[in-house]
Amino acid sequence: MLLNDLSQLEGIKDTKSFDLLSEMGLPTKSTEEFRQFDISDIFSKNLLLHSDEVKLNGGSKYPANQDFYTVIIFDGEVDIKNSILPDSVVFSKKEKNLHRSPNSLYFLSEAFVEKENEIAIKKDLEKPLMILNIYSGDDSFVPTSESVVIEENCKVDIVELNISNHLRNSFVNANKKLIIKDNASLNYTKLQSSTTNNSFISNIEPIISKNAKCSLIAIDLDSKRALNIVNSTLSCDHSNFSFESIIKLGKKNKSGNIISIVHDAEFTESNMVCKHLLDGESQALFEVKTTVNHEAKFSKTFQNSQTILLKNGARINANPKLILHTDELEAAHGATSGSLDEEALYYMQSRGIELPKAEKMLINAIELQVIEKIGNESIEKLALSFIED
Amino acid sequence: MLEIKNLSVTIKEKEILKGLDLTINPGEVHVLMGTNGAGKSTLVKTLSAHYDCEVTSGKMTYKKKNLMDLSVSDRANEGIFMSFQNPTEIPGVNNMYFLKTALNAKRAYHGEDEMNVAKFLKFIKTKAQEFGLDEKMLKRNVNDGFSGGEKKKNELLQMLVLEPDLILLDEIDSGLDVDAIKMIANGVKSMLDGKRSVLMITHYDRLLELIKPDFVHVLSGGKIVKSGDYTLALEIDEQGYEGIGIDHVAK
Repeated sequence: MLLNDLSQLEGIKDTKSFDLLSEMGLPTKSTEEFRQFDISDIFSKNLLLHSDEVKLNGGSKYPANQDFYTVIIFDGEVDIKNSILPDSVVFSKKEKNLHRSPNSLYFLSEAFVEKENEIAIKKDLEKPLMILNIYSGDDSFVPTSESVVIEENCKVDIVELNISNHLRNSFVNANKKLIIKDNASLNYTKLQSSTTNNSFISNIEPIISKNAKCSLIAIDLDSKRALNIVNSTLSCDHSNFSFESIIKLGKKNKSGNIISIVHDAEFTESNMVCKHLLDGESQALFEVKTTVNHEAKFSKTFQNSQTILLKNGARINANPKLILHTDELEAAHGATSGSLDEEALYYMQSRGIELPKAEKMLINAIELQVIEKIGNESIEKLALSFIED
Repeated sequence: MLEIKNLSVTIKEKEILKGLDLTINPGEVHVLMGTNGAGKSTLVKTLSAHYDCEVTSGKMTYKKKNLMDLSVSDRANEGIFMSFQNPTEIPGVNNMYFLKTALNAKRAYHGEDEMNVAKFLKFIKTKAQEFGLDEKMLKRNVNDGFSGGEKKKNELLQMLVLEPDLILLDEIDSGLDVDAIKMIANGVKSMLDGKRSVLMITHYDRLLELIKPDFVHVLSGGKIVKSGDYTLALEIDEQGYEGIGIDHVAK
């Protein structure tokens, strides 16, 4: 089926979401042009809707890592048999509540999914939780819908690892609601890499309660095409959202972050920092918009895009935007682009380290600066091995 | 060891060195003095192939090799070590890892096996203890957040690890207190085995009291205009450059 022909779509399971999708429409070439990050060709490709009957017999191929609790998800379906979870983590298939999002792609997945996967975390966990998403198939459209709920006063570290070795020429549209209740804290690290001609779009919707904190760290290594679309309204006092990302690309690969944060309550904070390491003819997008409304006095918001262009053919489109309706706040935004520090490279070479090795060391140093922000030793170790692989 | 003939160098199209000649034999300690802007740092940077320096004429021969044929890293691995006047900060690169990588790059260049982590740890800790250097420096990132003095001590540590044959010291004593100058001098002196050579730039006599030079050269207008022994440095200290008949470069 062709996703851009909405009237011909088959397999719709949620008509309310489909109606919203029809009303908002999918991104078109002309609407996406200003971003210079056109994704409209995904929707004009003939794709097969992934069957509901996903074979869940491959979980044992992925041996448990002792440092983590693990949820294994095959093409959007949880493989509970092979998952390792404590009692305080409860998995269920739930009826969806209609969640309003300004992102039409969110409703694209919702329209095809009858019930969402909910992972509810009731207590602090002894070990971090790993969400292992495994995808397979050829020329497939894989819509998924998932909620992670962190109960009041809990502090939780989660790492999401996406494995797509057996997925080709496909489009994964993954919805993720992150619900963080009062005084809770979620550190969520997303590790992604895909070299087999796939497109990954993650529609991330953090819903953050009073005194709660959501820290997202997204590491993308050489995805063919990937996009994180994050939308959050900070409507409770002292709610805090932070997003740190590193995008490392080569060849003609494309990856980006489109983030929209609305501050609607006092003492709310948001901080978005993305680092881009771009080689070959790769392309990255940093489109971050923060709106601070009149009610959101004493809030803080910061946006920063930092790009290293390793080749002349690489491109960054950085578009940090602040819309401020109150004077009583702290806000800053910025974007820089350049090459690796010439003096640092010279210094390293002057100690006998050859240029390619020196470049690699500097690139690793930039990656490490993001990894060190994860703040959980097991996840940091995993992220390091992910980068080294 | 090093022979420089008629060397002319420009930086951003401005000619800094104008036909400089200098010969350094194994085991010799040379000092380069001169007013600010005379071209002292340009000379040591040129020897280390700094990207700012463009050699427009002349010849530099080191261990019978044409230096111009060697890259920055090759020159280092052939035994040229320049201690920077303002060592570069490299956030995110651990100092210990940096030193180990540099040492193993040199070993690989000479066809030797890499030094493993355990052996390197023992080696580096011994070096640090021997010269009273703080081991905490090893755990930090290269020069990142270091004070001026710490940066110079880190340069010394690198020199002790890499054991170069030609040591170029660009004002290694600037910004150091008396005790730190002694520490640096002891480190440099420990390297002097009769084969290694030193070319150092300094404005102060204190370092020269501790490392007695064999030759003192005065650079002015892009050339060496006067050479002598240690007494020339004492004369400059007493009378200044004009006092010994050398015009200020600005004139």
